[in-house]
Formats: sequence, C-alpha cells, structure tokens
Amino acid sequence: MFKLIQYFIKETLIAFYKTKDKYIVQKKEVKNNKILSSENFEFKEKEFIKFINSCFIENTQTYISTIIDTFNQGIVDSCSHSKYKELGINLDNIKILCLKDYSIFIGLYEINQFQKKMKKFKIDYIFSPYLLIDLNKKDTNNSLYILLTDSFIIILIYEDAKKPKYSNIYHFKLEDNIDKTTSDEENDIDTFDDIDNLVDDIEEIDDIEEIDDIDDLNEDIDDVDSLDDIENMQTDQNDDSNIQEEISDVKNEIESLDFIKNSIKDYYENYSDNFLEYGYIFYEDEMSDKFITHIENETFLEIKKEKIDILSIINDLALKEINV
Amino acid sequence: MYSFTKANKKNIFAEDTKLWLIFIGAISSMMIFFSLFLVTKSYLYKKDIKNFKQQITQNNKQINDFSKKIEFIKKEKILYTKISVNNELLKDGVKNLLDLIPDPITLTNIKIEKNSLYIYGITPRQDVYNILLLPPLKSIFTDTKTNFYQMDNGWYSFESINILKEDK
Repeated sequence: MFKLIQYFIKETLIAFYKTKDKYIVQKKEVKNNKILSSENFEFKEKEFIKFINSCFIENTQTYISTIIDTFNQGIVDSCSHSKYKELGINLDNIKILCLKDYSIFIGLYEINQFQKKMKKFKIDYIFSPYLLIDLNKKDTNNSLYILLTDSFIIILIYEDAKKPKYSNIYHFKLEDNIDKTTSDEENDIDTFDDIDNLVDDIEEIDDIEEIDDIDDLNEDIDDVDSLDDIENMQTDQNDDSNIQEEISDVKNEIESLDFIKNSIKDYYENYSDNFLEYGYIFYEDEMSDKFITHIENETFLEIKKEKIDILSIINDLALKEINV
Repeated sequence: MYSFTKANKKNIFAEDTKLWLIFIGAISSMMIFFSLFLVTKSYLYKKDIKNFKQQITQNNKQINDFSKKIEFIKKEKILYTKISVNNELLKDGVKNLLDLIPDPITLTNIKIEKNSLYIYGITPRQDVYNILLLPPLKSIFTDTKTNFYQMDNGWYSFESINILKEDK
C-alpha cells in the first residue's frame, strides 16, 4: 500500500556531512525514483537546523542521511558471527551490517553518541564511509582504495575484487583549527581527544593573565584611524587564514601519507602476503598531482585518482534504503 | 540494507493537512450520509406514491362498483315502489271488485293477471250476472267476455274474462 502511495509522492533527500565549522548539504527532490531537482548548500549549524525544519514543513517525506566517521568501525570479509569471534570482536557491543560478501560493523556506543549529538536533525540514515568506496570499486584484485576528505581519510584493501579485506580510518588532527566561536562546543565532547583539546583551551585562557594584553588590544583599536585601516586589517586576516589553510593542507598530506604507509604495512604484516597491484584514490574537492606522486612513491603503486560526489552517493544510498 | 539505522516514521500528510483532511472527510461523509438519507426517503416516497396510486385505482373501481350497486338499488327501489303501488292498487282493485260482487253471485275463483281478470263463480241466473256484475266490469275493462254453463240445480256457473288494453 505504502509502495503504491510512494509512486505519487515526492521525497526530499538531504545528505550532509560536517566539516570543521560547517555543514555541507545536498538536497535532492525525487519522485518515483526520478530526480526532480538537486541543490548543494553550505550552512552553519543554526542555519542548517532552520533549513532542515523548512524542508520538513515543505515535505513530510524528507529523509536526512549522513555518514559516520568514527574510529570504532570496520569491515570483516564475512557475515558469519564466528568470524567476528575469531577476530576477537565482542558481538554484544557492535551493530553488524551484512552486505553481499562482507559485513561492516560499528560500535553501538558510537552510533548512540552520534545520534545524541545529531538529535536536532532527526537523522534517518547513517551510512559507513566505507560504502563510499565500495560503491565505486573496480573489478581488480589486490587493490588499494583511498578516500580523502577534509576531515578524514579511509582505506579499503581488496584482495579479491568482490570483498574488502582490510579497512582503516584516520581523522586529521583539528585542534589548531577548532572554531572557537562555536557555541555548541560543549556538546561535541565525545572523545578523550576533545577533552584534551578543551584542557588546552582552558590553559590558553589562563595564559591571558596580564592586563597588559588587554591594554595592547586597546592600543591597537586606538590605532585604527580610518576605514582603510580596517580593510587592510581584514585583508591581512584573510592572508593569514589562507596561509593557515595551506599549512593545514600540508599537515593533512603528511598525516595522510603516514597513515597510508602504516596501513599498508599493517596489511602486509597481518592480513595478506599478496602484493598490492592497483591503487585508487577518491576525492571530492581537489587533489594535487604532487600529493598523488608522494603516495605513489610511498606505496610503489600507480595511483589513479577519481573525483566522487560524496553527497550524491549518500542520497543514492538513502533512496535505495527507502525502496527496500 | 546499507544504513546502520532505520528511517524515522514519516507521515504522508503534515499535521495541518491532516486536520483539513479530517474536516473535509467528516463533511463529505455527512453529505454522503445525508444524500443517502434523501435517496432512501425519495425511494420510500416513490414506493408510497405507487401504493397510493394502486389504492386510488382500487378505490375508483370500488366507487364504480358501488355506483352500479347504488343504481341497481335505486332501480330496485323504483321497482319496489312500483310493485308496492301496483299491489296497493291491486288491493284496492280487488277490494273494489269484491265490493262489486252482488249478493246473489258467489265467486269460486279469481285470477288476476297484469292486464286481465278471470272470474269464476255461480249465479242463480244469467240476467242477475248481466245486470249486477257485467256493467261495472265493462266500465273497468276494455274487453269482457262471459261464458255460462248451466249446472244441475239450474244455477249457472260462469267464466268471465276481462281484458284491459293499454292505450298505445
């Protein structure tokens, strides 16, 4: 009955993921599996909540989907529970998603925490980022797949072209880039890393013990004589932020290379003796050839790069879920 | 299944749309109910009209029958009155007739028909009859015939046939 009704109603699919200070969003309107419209947005948290609410008012059939990028998830090349026991994974604390030839697991705690953190959005579907690679995989054996985003990097290695054998995820260290204006920072405390960051922040605040600093600030304000000065200050600030971004990118690249190197080492040591033959890297925004060369030098593989639309994939997965 | 979670329950309609739909539904069902009521009523009225028409036809037929009966009874009444008058007249006539009979003549039989009178009797003599009885009979009837038969004792038995012809 619902399927019949579904034939006539329009569904709004909203896929999003959070970067350090904003939400990257894609809104698709779908009717009878045909895409009517597709729009991409970037929002701050408050705007995003408003946007979600307006979507729900506009259409009750709104589905919100995202990916969960927590560490405590991985793949096992079988759906069998005995395989999990073999690997020493406690079945009581995880949720297993059995796919055709393999399974993805995630800690129940992670899921609950994620849902609590995102409770303002009424999320319908939470997908593993490993699916983003799996849905774009090639028919080649012994292949290394890398998915690189602004906030994390994941690796899947396929010994057999059909099912992945190795998975790993890494989050880029963001402590230098945390947006200190975010009011919900307290709500984001979900890992020990976050607590450490907070302690660091408090120490920084303690450092401002001299009133001289405030005096200096006052002097700076006094120095601002004209609008030109303000503009100059702004351009200086922009330059600073650009430099910071570049530094952050280089840092991410170094961390990525280390992570890829360590993952391959882990794979050869603990999972397979077969040498990797193919390498693919999926990215969304930009990918420098220089970075690809670095990876090739580290992995001794020819790396093919491929641009993917993460939000589109998330929405496609959501559509598949709706049609199940 | 690709998602770690299941989708939240979705309503097909928004809350205010639901209210509107309930309202429209209630109004529609009331209208349907009312129209059904009207249809049923009109059906029953049509049925009643049909029955009444049948009844009217039957009543008309009965009225016709009664009219015929009344007419018949009226005719019977007229006939009764006529008969009664005739009887009264006959009674008077018989009384008058018997008053006409003179003492010497004895009647043995009288037969009265619609336009005729048959008298049978005994008379001592033919002239007694001819003088005392014949003249009043002649004055009443248009045609009078009398036959005499002599009896052993010398008296005469007579037969008088009197016919009254109505004017055409």
